[in-house]
Amino acid sequence: MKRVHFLFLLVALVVVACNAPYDDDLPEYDGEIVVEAYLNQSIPLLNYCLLSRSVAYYNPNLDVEQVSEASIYVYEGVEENGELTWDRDNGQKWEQFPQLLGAYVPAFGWAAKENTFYLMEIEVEGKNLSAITQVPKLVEIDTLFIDNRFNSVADSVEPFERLTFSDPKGFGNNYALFRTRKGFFDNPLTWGSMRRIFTTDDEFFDGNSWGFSSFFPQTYGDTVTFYLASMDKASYRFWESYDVSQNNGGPFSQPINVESNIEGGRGVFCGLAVDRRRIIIEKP
Amino acid sequence: MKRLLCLIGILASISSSVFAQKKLTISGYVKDAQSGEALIGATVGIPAEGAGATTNVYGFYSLSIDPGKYQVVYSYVGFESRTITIELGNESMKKDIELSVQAVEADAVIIQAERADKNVKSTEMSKVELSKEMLQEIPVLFGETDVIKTIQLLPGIQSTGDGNSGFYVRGGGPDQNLILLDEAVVYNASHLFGFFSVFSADAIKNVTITKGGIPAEYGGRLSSVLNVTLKEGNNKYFDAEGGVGIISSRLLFEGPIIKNKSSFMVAGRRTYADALVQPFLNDDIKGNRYYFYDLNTKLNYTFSPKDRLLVSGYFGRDVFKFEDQGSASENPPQFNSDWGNTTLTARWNHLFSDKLFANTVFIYNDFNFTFGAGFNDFNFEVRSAIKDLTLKMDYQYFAGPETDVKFGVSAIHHTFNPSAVDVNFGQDEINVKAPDRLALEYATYAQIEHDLGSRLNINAGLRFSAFNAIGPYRDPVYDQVTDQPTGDTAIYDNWESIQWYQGLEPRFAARYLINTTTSLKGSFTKTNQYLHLASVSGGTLPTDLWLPSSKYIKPQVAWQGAVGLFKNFTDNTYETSIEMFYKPMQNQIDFAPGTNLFFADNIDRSVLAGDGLAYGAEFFVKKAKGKFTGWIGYTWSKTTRTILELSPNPYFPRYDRRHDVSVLASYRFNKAWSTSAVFVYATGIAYTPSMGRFFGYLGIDFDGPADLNPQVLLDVITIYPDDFNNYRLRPYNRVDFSVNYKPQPKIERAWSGSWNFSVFNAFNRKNPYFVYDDTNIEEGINERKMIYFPVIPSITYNFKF
Repeated sequence: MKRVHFLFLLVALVVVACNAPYDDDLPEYDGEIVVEAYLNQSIPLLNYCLLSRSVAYYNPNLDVEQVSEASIYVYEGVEENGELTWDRDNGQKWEQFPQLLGAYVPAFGWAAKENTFYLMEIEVEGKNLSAITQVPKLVEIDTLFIDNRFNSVADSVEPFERLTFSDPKGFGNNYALFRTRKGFFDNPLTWGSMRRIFTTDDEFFDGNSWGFSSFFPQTYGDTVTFYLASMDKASYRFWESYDVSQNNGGPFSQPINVESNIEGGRGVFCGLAVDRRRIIIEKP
Repeated sequence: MKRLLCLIGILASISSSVFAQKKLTISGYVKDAQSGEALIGATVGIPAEGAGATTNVYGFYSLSIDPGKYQVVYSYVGFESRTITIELGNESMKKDIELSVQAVEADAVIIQAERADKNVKSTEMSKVELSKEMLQEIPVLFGETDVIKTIQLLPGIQSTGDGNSGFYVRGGGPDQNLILLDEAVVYNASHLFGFFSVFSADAIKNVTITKGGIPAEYGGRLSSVLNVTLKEGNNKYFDAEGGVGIISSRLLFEGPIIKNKSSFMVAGRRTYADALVQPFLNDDIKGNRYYFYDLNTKLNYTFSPKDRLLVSGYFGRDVFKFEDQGSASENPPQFNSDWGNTTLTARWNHLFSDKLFANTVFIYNDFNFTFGAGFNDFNFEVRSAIKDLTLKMDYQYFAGPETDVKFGVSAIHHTFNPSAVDVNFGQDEINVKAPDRLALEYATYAQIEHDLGSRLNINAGLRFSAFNAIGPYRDPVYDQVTDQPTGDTAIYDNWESIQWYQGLEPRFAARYLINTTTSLKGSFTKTNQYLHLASVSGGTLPTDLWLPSSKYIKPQVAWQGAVGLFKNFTDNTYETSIEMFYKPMQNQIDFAPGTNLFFADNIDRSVLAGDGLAYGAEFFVKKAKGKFTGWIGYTWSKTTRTILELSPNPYFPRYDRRHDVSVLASYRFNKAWSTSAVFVYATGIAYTPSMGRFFGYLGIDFDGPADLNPQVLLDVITIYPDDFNNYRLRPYNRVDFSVNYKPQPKIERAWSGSWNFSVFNAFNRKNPYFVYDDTNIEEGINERKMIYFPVIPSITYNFKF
């Protein structure tokens, strides 16, 4: 709806208003280390950490400033009496991915464990960053099928997927649904390579089965894979605030900072419990 | 409670002492001899006795004196005074008086709507009255005389921005102003996205703005009352006036239905830019239209010397259509929107006696908004509305020359349709409608204005207001511990109470006359507000939603204390004042960043609430008479809000302006030519600028069809400073000019025309209306830009016949 508000203003303003550069002073900003790290129990290739550097907003350099030569360790933890203790004797060192500056990965084939806490510690450029996440208990996809619907305007049948899952009883479960189509690559290399369809908590369907269907049709002949990822609250807050910030706009909108769970920097350390299903969109 | 009992005791003692006296009464109406229009605020005085009265908004006065023979003087600014001899024997007397417009002295002008020394001698403070003539002197955007643009030039009142009809009063938001058109609430006073207000200048009789010391008869908003009264219509002869401007034209027609007994007034206005530019548009954009229109009507009928009926209505709409006619699609991209207000006010004035004036009012008003869009077989429409039915009864008891008592009751039935969304996609339909909200709002009040000796006058009042959210309604139940929905729904039947709020609102004002030209005034008021504007903008947009108080949204409350020193010089040629105010506020609302007003499941739970504080000083110097007239207003003020979810520290809302200066200067060369200039300066608007950025969600999008090139995803994430609104846009300043040419007709009531040439923002100052980041990484654009309103000249021809 912010686009409606913005549209109104734009239409109003183009009547008489002018546009000009605005060059008054801005707040000083030195930049921070930005972390985008994922681990999951299902797809080892999608466990990675990207390090970059934030810059002053009007810094003329528009490229990503990757951060190299970082030391990254990940530790498993257990919760006892509300306190987390970390297995520091068996830390996983994440190494820089060859020829991809700023990308760090665990040992080949390593995967996180379901229902487990993780601590990530990063040492880079004389700074120490840390973050905690939990890979929650897996919630599986219950059903995935194609619903063929007639479009009267196009005078044709169009395929819409229908996916359902059952939310465990008790508030506090958080989900993201990702999707890929089989095309250029069969398997995605990063979570950013996938279409994140939604991120939601279970406020409105706690303990119930919940279904999803795309607003726009799929294409017959495609192979589509869905990834239902459960995540902890901090990761969910990152994504929720991320989406709000991306959709936030207009001249009078409230500014919003993306919520971070990184101590000493910005970004997210996101633990995911992932269930994936693939479906071929076949003509009826 | 002790204070309340004390106040009631004072009121009772004053009233009983007054009522005990046996006096006779002169009462009646004071009217314009030319049109029969009632004159508001005309004075009726008996200088020898030191007694006097003022006409109310219907032109009625009542003056109680001992039997005897008196010289009674009737006067009104801009009209010839009349002195008549009255002999009161054993009975009271009814005396209607007509005053004639004063012959214009060579080149002089008076920019007052009230009597010359009213600013000093009235108890009311923080109140300004504007006449239609005064409004027409001021340079305006596009040549459209505008009430709201004019009041924004007064100290303590700030504009929400160039080209916006919203205004801020003493640290209050735009929703905290009670805007009344013939007593009907106007929920959105904007046309053309805010460039114009809904008030058509031709149809206006009188405008008052009260920014502090709000009397008990008004309630429902925290910060101010803007009261616009429409003309009643000439009950002596037919009359027309209008104007042709560069984007709109207007016409008013009025006349008697039965001479001297009943009259009508019809005034219409429409923009025609859409029609004018149509021939010049290419086929691709020919489907685009924007226009607004409004219609003001009024009918009044005097049934008997004691009964009069006034019916007035307003209907206005903005219509906006866009269709991509260049599209090859059978159903090309299009969107359309329309919104507007409708009000209907029926008033019955009845004189129970020559001392008791009653006004019974029925009001219907609504504001609704629709926005729709479509492409191919996908269509959606968003709607919202608010609708009120009001019944109120106001009484004015003219107890004596020193005492005026007002009391009344009112009840409002509110219907809120916060949002309804219809989505149509092929054969599929999705209808999401936030449930209607119903509420009742009640109020009763009593106030007394009384002279305690020749120097001290007090106006004390008490208002009791209550708000009841009622069913039918289905309310999701939330767990009190986890604050999560339990899945249950509380169901409320028709008229069943969901939530009840109430409050006592004491109002007190006093004036101490130091001498005939100097007075000291003070006021204290408490105001409650039960309706809230859900807005994502700092101004007013048609997309804003009005919400009722509920379980989650508590009523807004404000206390305001103000003191002022008023002094006139040189036979009231110069008026000066200094006012200081202090205004703490509770339950000030805002919304969590990113809140979607139309699609929120339960928007009440997105409301953030906190406290507010505003204080400041206002300085005002006005030259009211002569060839050279005008005023200088300066306000120093500070406004903060404390809403912890938005900022850990108190922050400055958009409407905090540390310094605000307005200068209006008019010079009349002769009867035909005059010129005016406006200068405005204001501290820059508080805002939160972008501070840093990073890229997020790095990846490559392979989600498209296999034959398309994958796209690198680089979302730009903006980093803002932790302190909310701790930076300022550059200060605002603007100079406007206008020249008026009004040749005098040789024959009275013949066609007379006048020209207004205006230049808005004459020096083309780049005042940021808003600042935005123009960032597009793929195209290598990363600039900070602003939108501003450049120099805008305009010309308007006004006529009357």
